[in-house]
Amino acid sequence: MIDSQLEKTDLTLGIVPLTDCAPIAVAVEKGFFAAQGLSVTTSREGSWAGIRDKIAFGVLDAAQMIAPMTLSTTLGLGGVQCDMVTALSLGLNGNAITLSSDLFGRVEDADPEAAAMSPMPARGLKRVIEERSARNLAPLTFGVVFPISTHNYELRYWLASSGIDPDHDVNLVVIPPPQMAAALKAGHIAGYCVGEPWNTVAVADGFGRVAITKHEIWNNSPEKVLGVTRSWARAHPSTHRALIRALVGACTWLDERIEHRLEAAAILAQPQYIGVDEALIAGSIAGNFRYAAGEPARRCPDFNVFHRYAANFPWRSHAAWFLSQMQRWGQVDLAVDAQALIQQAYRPDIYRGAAAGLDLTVPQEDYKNEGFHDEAWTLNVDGGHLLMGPDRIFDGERFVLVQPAGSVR
Amino acid sequence: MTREHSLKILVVDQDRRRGQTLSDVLRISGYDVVNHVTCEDFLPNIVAESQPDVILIDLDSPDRDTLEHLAVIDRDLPRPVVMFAKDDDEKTIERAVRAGVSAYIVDGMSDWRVKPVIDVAVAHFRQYQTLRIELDKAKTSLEDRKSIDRAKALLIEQRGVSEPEAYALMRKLAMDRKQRLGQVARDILAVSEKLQQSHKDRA
Repeated sequence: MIDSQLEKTDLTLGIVPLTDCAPIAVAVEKGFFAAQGLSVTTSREGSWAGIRDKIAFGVLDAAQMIAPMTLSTTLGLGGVQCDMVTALSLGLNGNAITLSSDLFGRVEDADPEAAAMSPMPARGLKRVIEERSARNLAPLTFGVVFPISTHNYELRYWLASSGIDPDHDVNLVVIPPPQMAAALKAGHIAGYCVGEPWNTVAVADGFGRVAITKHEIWNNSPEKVLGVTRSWARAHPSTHRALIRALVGACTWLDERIEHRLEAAAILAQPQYIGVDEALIAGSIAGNFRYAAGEPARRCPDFNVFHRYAANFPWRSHAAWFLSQMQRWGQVDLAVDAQALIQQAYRPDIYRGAAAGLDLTVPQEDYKNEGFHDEAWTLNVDGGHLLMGPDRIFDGERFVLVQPAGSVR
Repeated sequence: MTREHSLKILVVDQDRRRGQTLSDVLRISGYDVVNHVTCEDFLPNIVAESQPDVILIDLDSPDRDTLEHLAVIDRDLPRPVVMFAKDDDEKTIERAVRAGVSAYIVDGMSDWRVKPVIDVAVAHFRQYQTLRIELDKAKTSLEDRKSIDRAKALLIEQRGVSEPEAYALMRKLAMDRKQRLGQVARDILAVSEKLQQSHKDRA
């Protein structure tokens, strides 16, 4: 049903050429926006900085956004200060860490046992780095997509868990996703963490090998969100809810069956979305992910999760985890008022308001712990329950992220 | 203190020609353009080599994110920082965003030295925008004129009306439908094509 109170119906949404822009692309192409009375134009953006600036200055209404950017932009890290809000997560998982085939070979030689493990730890890589250091060779350079990004934290987490100091033992650079594979091929970088299809592109050409997926690092961990400014959310409450409903519809459709995922791959292959060969997108989005050329694809049904496991809910505990990583790596002052920031930027209340018009079971809590479930589990809520995915972290770490007692929801 | 005399500027633009002319304009204005590149080059190396005081980059360039990172991590390079934070005049920045250009400056560089550079870039980008819009308009009006002539010929042939009558008919349709004349002409042509197709299918 179309909300007659829509403040605005013609919207421009920013996307970045990645498989996980699928919810927005599908909502456009399969009529989910239209069904909510919205006419949406997508704008393919070249950088996350561009997404941030264009939202901040009203050139875009909303955008696919790397989740921690809502927090960092509200804090004004990196230059632009603008209060940002998210009330919708666009999905879980979807990234991977790829090494150049040459480096992977050396890592395998250094520690064959570790290289054969699944998930693969960075133990062998540590040996390679130590050898290079002993021979006074320049540190290896790795690419991530933005300084404040899930990708940066995933790569850093993986390296650090094997005793590699990401700030001293390696050199980290930022490269836009579509240029990542080319930079690896040209030898500018030795590896990277990026979303699809930009791992598959390197694997398909044989110059890259996947070490570990985001799903393996942390099962069903948060990825992109729908970002808007706080003032936009205030001025367009009905339109915001309609956007959320449309995108939840698209995400539900994406998770309904494999055929839908394959149809999405065909949609995403178009130049206004990703603009690469459909075959490069169809593998991982349908849960068949190839780690190396010449190997059969491995079955990874949760490589992308768009709706199941309460994937669209904007957990405040996810924001708390991002903030903990920003603090861990010295990107943000330890004295920042985390509670106030998270409550302002992450808005499960708006999500619940939008979901009220849908037949949707919604979590009642805003926080959950991570790393406590090796298997799927059930979250009980009033009048039903939600099937939740495993949330295992590969090194066995557990994060207690429950809301501190006495704080206001 | 060579910096007092000449700012070193790096121009990064996906549009090679726009970047080239901006570099020329800046040079004529007395600035030292140390390099001018497109996104095919590996930016971290270029920044390290050319050590710019100011980087002008098109807003849509994928290399934006690379610069953001250099601003955060690299202590050895002159640290380009985003203009927005330091500029109290938000309108200047909004103009820049809308013109499609962004700027990064070395930490500690005074605003009054950098602002004229940004103004030049914004003016240049705007000029390009205007040109592009005019080019698009010219293209559309040319296409419109072609469609209108073809639709007119079609009406004359099929309905046996005179040229002024055919034109008047299309004008009326456009006003009734609140559409542009070119659109009405294209609709007429499309309907006629469909009719012909269905005749063929039946035959």
